[in-house]
Amino acid sequence: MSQELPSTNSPRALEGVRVLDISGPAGFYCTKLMADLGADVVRVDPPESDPDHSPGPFFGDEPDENQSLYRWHFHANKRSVALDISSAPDREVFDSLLAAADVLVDTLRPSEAQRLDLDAQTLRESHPALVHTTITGFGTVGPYVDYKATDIVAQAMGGLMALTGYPEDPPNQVGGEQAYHVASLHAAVGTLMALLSRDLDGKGADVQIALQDSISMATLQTANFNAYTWLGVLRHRTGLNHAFSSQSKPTTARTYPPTLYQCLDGWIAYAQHADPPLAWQHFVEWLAEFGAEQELADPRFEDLEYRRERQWRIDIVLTEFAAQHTAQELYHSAQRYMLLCSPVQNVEDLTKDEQLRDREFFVDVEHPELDRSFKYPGAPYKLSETPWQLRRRAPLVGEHSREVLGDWLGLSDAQAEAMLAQGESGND
Amino acid sequence: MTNGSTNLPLRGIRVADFSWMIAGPLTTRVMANYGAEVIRIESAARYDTIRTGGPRPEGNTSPNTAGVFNDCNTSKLSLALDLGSPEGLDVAKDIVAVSDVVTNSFRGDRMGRWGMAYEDLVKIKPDIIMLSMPMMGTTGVHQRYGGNGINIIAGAGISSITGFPERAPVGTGSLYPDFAGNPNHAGLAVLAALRHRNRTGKGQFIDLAQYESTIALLGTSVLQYTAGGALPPRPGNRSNFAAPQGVYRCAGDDRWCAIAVETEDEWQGLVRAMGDPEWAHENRFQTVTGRRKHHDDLDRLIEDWTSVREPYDVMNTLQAQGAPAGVVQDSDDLLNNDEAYRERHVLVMDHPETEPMTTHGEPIMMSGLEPVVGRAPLMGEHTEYVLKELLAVDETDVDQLYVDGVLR
Repeated sequence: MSQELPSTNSPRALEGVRVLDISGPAGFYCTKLMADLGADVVRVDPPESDPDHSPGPFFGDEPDENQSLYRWHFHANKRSVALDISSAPDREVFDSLLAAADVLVDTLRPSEAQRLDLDAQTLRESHPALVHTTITGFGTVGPYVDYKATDIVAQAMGGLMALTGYPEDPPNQVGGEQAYHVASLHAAVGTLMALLSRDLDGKGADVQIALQDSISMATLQTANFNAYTWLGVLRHRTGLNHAFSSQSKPTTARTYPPTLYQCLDGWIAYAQHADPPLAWQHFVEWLAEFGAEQELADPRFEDLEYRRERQWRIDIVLTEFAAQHTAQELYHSAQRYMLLCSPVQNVEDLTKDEQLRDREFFVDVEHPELDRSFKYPGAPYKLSETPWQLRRRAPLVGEHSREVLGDWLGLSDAQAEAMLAQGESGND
Repeated sequence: MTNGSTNLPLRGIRVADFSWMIAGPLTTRVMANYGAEVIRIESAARYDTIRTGGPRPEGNTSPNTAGVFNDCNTSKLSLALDLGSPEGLDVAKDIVAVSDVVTNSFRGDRMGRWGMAYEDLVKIKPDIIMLSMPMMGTTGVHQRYGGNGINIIAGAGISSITGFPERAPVGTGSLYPDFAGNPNHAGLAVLAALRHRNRTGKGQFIDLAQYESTIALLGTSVLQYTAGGALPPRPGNRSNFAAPQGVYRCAGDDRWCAIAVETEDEWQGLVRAMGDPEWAHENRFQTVTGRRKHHDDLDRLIEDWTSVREPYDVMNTLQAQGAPAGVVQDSDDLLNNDEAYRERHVLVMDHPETEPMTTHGEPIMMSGLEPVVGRAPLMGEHTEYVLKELLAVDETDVDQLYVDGVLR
């Protein structure tokens, strides 16, 4: 309810939770969610950044892990130790940290986990109180367990891509690595449930997420299954049409009304009179304000069946109307009639959005090395007592190696130094 | 009437759930499946739109048989109340008094007009956790603006980074924010608040704007603009940093396979899988930079190879050589060609009013803590249980509430 900026002195919801993060991109958002809620997340970074695995784009186009915008975004608030866990001395350090951790997050395929002795069974025996969270592509049994799954592979296999795109084009991925995001969200929810459960009985748990299932859930795939089983409708991509425009009866896969309309300076998305029974009336009033209602003011259109049979007429009226106005004009006027409408906005639009400005959504993060700050996306939720916080920029690789050994293992600087020197991890 | 076995992680937690449509109910779905007692407080005068929506068996008009409703509300209880009457509101507040969490997704001041704003609820239950999740949040100049997944995805910027650069923007073909980002962000916030309450005895108010929680899924796109200085383009099916990546036509009607090569080893794997063609040794394809620069040509050459092969054959051949690939699967594929997925994730549930329906298994799996994904409640199915068992209202008073139309 308060619009005040969260103070860094506010209590943290995940205060005292130690998370050891050896995840790849599929898990980055999971540990970010936990770090932003106040958990102590320590990333185990490979000491030598592998050019193959440092995903760009980079700040100033400099292909350096520490300048990766990917790293900046996902690893803010985390700390970093540099360890090569396939080397014996570094592995010893890692094992000590693991013993002190509450949560381990990884994205290892079952065979990789076994090779590293980090499979669920081994960890359950050696660390009974550990919450061990794993994101795989396809679960832990079946013919695809050791198949590699990137974001687009998971979007394909989980059924999202078959629904996205224009029928005359190839299927589309949804931008922004959504399989990784959803799986990470599921992983974070599972991790927190396991922590709450552990508070009751002291027992750890293995939280297992499959990218394919996360995407399937994100598509509410069973709605399509039921439509297929009950009605024989096999849904495919329909371009401007979204899936469940709520008044459209799915009699065939392609009768959904469009949800995107081109306007003078861009596009709007409009969820057609989705909130009956008043929404139709509001819709006609909206058009009438601009003298654009054409025959839709005919009271026969108030009947749902009558409308369904003439959906194409409604689409034409709305298409013609939208084409004569700007996206912002359509957005605000439609919302005044309680209609569900938004402009298709890009990031630049978002940085200028009044609502986001009012709620102080974007957050400035200092980058002392560059003597600059940058605008980061802010809180996905506002908690009144334990606010989401972005406290510091992503760590440089190995920036906190000594510090973390001190905090987690109680080692003095000299002891930490000695332990790290066993390996060749080039810390600090 | 808590769900299932006694070791589920959310045992002992009770949720008074005023949310409706999809994003709110999916927030509490996972909680119900993992042992919380989630009570849907439903208006008998105005059904949840999803109860009367689709898909549903041909000709069936019951408020109990809509597939989406039943999938979003597994393992919950339903109480049917007349929330327009003072007696009905009293019952609702009595439920809050014995709950840990209250959820709603109304825009505007609906809860406040019922006398159930956060400030009111703390008087009934001092350590209550309240989640409100309207599209725009509970503050700000556009706080009354409304939406669902269809317009949220566009407003929040996902449509601007989806599709081919030379084509019109495209939606997600699903109400993606409703199904994924918003319920999981909301659920995580509630769980975090529960942890804080367990430690300190303090509840709190959670203001979740579905708009903002969808913007949170833009990944690096924001920094690409604010630090990189350029708007991220619509990427088609390509990667920001690796190549080749795309969706390639296969043999059959509208069949496709996604291929995503991120490392040198994976490139070599792809080349081996294709039978080591001569073109793959051309200089221009030997580095990531070269492959990205000549991506169009590369796509055509790869598609020459995939287009005469079945999609599963393409995937299996590539994966056998360590190159990431996956078939673009539709509903028929998921149900009939992917047994491991079906076994893991698809439940077929009996229903008293209709033929069996498919429902998602929990995407969150936990060893030793099996969730119980139970049937969604019929409208008002648990009204008597809630009144008599939970609120200890005696039989004659319950009967009177029915006579008065407060209970349905």
